[in-house]
Amino acid sequence: MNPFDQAARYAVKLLDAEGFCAGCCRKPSPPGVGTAGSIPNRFRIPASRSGAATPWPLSRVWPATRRRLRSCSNFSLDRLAPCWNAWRNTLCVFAVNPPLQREPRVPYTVVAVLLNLTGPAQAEVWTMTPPDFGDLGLQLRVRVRTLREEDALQLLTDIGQGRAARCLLPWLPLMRGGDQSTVIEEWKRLAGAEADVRKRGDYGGLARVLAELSGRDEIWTKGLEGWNVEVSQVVLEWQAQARAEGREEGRAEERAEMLKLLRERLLRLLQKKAQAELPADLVAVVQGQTDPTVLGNWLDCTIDASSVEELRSAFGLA
Amino acid sequence: MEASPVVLEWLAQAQAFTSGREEGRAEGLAEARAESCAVFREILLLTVQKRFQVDPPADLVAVVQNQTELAVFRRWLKLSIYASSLEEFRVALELS
Repeated sequence: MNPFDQAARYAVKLLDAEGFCAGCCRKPSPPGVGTAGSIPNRFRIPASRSGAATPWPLSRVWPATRRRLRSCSNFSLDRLAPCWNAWRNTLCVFAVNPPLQREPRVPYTVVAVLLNLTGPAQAEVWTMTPPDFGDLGLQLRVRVRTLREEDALQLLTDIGQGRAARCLLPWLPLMRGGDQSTVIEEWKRLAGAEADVRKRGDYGGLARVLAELSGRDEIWTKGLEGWNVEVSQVVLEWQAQARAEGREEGRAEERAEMLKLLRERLLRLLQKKAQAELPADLVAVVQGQTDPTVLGNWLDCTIDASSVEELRSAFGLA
Repeated sequence: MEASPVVLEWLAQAQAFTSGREEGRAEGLAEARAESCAVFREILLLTVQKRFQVDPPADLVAVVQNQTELAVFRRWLKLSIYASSLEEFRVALELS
């Protein structure tokens, strides 16, 4: 997997999926204009009684549905599915949500955000009509966010004032003005306010990776000198994944060896009992059996069996 | 794949955990080996009981319980099926 892809997916799904949706589903604002007003209902941060925006992330209620959005850890791939296009350096994120109203045909509604990480804006409407499917096809209007056209300082202001989630910080090096030292200093101040040391490490690590994608790695690496990325959750997850994969590999290897041995022994015994070539279905059922206990039981049955028919019955073939 | 020094740095740390992968693999092997041995012990003792129509003697049970090599189980299983008597099986296991 492309490392930028890996970093971007991680930044979308695992830092704060809800915060990402809230920040990216809104329409981009013109420079100097606050962003809270243009957040779509589904992801708008509810206003407090006084009318001021409730600081992120104190409230997680969707005003339209009165439901609580699932927490980040509960998002599965079909809830928030990022798709990377390495050719264009874009990331399309599909957010799958419960419908606003009772909808008899589909249990979910799907919206998508197209993040242009480095390139220019693209069309908001995608039309997918395969030529060999007659007039069938899909049309999808996506929210296009072109990071190089979005103001880094504005995002920092929004985050500082609780109108956007901190999880958007890693994307900042890709934004307009994302190479300014003042931006990096403010970035560090806001990221430093994150109490979770792992998450803070993630912000730093991901920002550095994405800075490299935009050719700003030098200034960000220098700016983040001393920033703690050693405790990055990404690394910890990769490590845990490596260990789990190794464990599964070891288990599978050993188990395959045991099954091979049991099948081999059973087939030899069957051969001896049958005194003739074994029926193909009998061999197939033994070779297809993956439960060692069943193979053990069949071995026992074979010791006592007096005919191939009896065995076929014991093996569930009769 | 574009090489990112930062990601390579992360990967280096993750690869420091290649040892972790190896450890995980060793853990998996050991777990599955323990399970395999348990399965073979059960099959072997049942086979002995069935073939020779006696409960396996304690010394035989002990030697089977202490065995951890699949290759040895494989040989013993074959012997348990083809030995003409329990005594012959015990001799093969060097118990007599």
